[in-house]
Amino acid sequence: MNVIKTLTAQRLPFLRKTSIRKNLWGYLFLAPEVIIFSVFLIYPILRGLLLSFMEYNVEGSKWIGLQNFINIFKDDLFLISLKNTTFYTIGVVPVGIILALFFSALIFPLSARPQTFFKSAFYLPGVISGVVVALTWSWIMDPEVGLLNYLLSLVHLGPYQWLSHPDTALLSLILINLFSGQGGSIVIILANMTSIPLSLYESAKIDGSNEWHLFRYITVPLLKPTILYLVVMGIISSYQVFDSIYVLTKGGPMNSTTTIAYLIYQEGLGSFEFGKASAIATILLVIIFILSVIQFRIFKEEK
Amino acid sequence: MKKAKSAAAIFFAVSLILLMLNGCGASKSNQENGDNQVTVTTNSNSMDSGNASDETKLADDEINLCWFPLWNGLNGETNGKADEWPKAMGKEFMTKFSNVKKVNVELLDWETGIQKLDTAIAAGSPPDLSYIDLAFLPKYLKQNMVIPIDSYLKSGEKEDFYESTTDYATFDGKLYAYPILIAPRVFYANKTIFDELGVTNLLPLTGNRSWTIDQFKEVTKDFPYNRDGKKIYAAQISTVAGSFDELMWLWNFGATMYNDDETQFILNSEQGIAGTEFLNEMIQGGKFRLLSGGGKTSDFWAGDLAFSIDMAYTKDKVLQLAKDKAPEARKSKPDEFVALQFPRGSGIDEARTYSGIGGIPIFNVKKGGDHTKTVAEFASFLTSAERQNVVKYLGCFPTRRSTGDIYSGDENAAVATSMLGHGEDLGRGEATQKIFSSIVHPAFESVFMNKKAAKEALDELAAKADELLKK
Repeated sequence: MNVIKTLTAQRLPFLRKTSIRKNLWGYLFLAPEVIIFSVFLIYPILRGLLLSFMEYNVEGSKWIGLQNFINIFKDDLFLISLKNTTFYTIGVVPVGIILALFFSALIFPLSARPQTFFKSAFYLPGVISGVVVALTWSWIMDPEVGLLNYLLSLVHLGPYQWLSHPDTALLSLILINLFSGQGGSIVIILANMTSIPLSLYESAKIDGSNEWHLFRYITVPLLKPTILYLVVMGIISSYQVFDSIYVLTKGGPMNSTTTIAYLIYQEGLGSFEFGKASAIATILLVIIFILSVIQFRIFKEEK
Repeated sequence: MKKAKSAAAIFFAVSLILLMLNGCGASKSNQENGDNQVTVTTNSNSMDSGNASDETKLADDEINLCWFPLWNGLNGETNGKADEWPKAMGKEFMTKFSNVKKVNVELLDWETGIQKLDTAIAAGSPPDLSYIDLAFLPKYLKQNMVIPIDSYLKSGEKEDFYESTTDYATFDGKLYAYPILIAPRVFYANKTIFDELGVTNLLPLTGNRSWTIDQFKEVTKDFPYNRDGKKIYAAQISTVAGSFDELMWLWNFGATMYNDDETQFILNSEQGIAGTEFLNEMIQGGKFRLLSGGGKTSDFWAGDLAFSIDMAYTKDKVLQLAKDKAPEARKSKPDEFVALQFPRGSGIDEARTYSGIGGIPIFNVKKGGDHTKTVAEFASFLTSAERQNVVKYLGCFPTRRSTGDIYSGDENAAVATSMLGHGEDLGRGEATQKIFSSIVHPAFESVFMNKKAAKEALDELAAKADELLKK
């Protein structure tokens, strides 16, 4: 027993009595957050993982092993949702980050007041509920009376079906995200741009670099950790897109906007197939994890 | 001092945790009254002392009930309070049964109400009773969430319900819901639009208001037409979740979804293909508006469409709807909207309509025999002959013989009644929910958007549906 105590104290120094006593206040302040985190995040995740191997029933679930996963991969709709989600992510994340970089590069040279104004303006859609944003866009993109088709008609384009046609529905959702979802990225990029030493820009200017060279060879490389963070967070949130689809298209038309998250909702709350829905959620977790690891590796190698 | 500090820190940390955990949930007995939530309670002194002699006790224990209704008003007036009827029912029931101390009423809306009900069930907090379309009863049966009511029926009560309505809620020989309404649809026409086009005389406004697809095509040949810069369509086909517009048309071409024992999906029959091709022809010709995915629905009652499928409202209710929705610039005229039968396809002698049945199941809340007995009594109370009169204001028909004719010769109700003899429904098997909600609309959308031919799309739909039926 004493050997175990000694070994534990050596390996896990925070478990030493003196350490606990010394950091008691810290542990006490951390306790509420850790408890809530465990109860409302860790436990549901573990429970969901367990459910994915079961056939759920309110009265008592039955262990069925990998059957849910087998059924999912046989289901055409899952493969369609995987394709739609991937396409959505490819459309939103890289394009979104490029747009955020572009706008940040335009805003950064401005003085404090205009900078604050533009940062607030771009960030504003982020503080509005996603449902409200989606409803607003449903009016803008209405094929009959929408503002977008009206503006396009002035230059003899359209009308387009936008959210009502399988060829344009997913692109419309991507557009909605690009127009309203970059504020947070712009604020983060601008914050990190302020930490780039000005002397680097001065030296480069002395050597004859123009604005594009400064951006391409100084700003972007030094923003790589920020870009990595935005890419990882962007992929995680894109793979979980749900609210705009639920409000605007309900996965249609022709399942062209059915994403993995929407499929989880359909299977779970629509059909009460909670085991299958949990299994899809598990697959989503694995996909996001793998993608995140790959991205970290790529950025690490480039460093 | 150090000890006091430590004690204070522990105290605050524990208090914080308890506060946060308490704020995360609320007991049913402490539900706050909101716009849609009513807690109807008795006072300690009897409110209606005159009725004391009518009070009965269903059990010794005090019982609280939880009810999620979807009724939209007592008297059909759109300016009435939506929760008047459920509140009144709760109070009346408590007056009759003294051990019922509280009836928690949470009024749901038709658009999102079922999702709220499903979420409550999935979270393990179902209400005691609610309203559902009985086509989707198997979804709850699969999870053992509803209990059979046979043992709670009074003598002669089952026989008072129309047999078709109890059959619809019977599985493995057990009845699982109190049927409350039959919800046929009629085909409304906006006469003003046809007056403007000069073709009102082509509408079947006399007799039993029946007509054929060819007559329908004739009357709609000038659509879409431009009225004050706005495109007016003949009708709208919505493939948004929950809608079944396209099925209404296919049924009137003679198609049907399932064979007699619902082991095979047969919408891909010749009649189904003909109906689908007709709809596609009307959509591609610009006469029908296709509402799929996103997009705002055209409002028939505001005068944006020539025809629409809707409930069999009374003439008074139709006038009220038109009055509420008509824009100021265009005041609605009396008799502007008329109910017609659905146009019939070739070889079809009688028009068909949706004959879906709504009912009140009892959810399995695991509170013991007395509680369930009280809930069953409340469900029986709500679906009693006199109280079923309320379905008139929903444009529906009662399910009890003893309720009698609630429409007293109303023209719109007569149109619905004439089609009910050939009612169609969405099926009643376990796979019904999945088939209807997941695969039917995408198949039609593929035709309406010229991705597939009607036969190919319906054959693929039938194959997928048959797979689901086999599971």
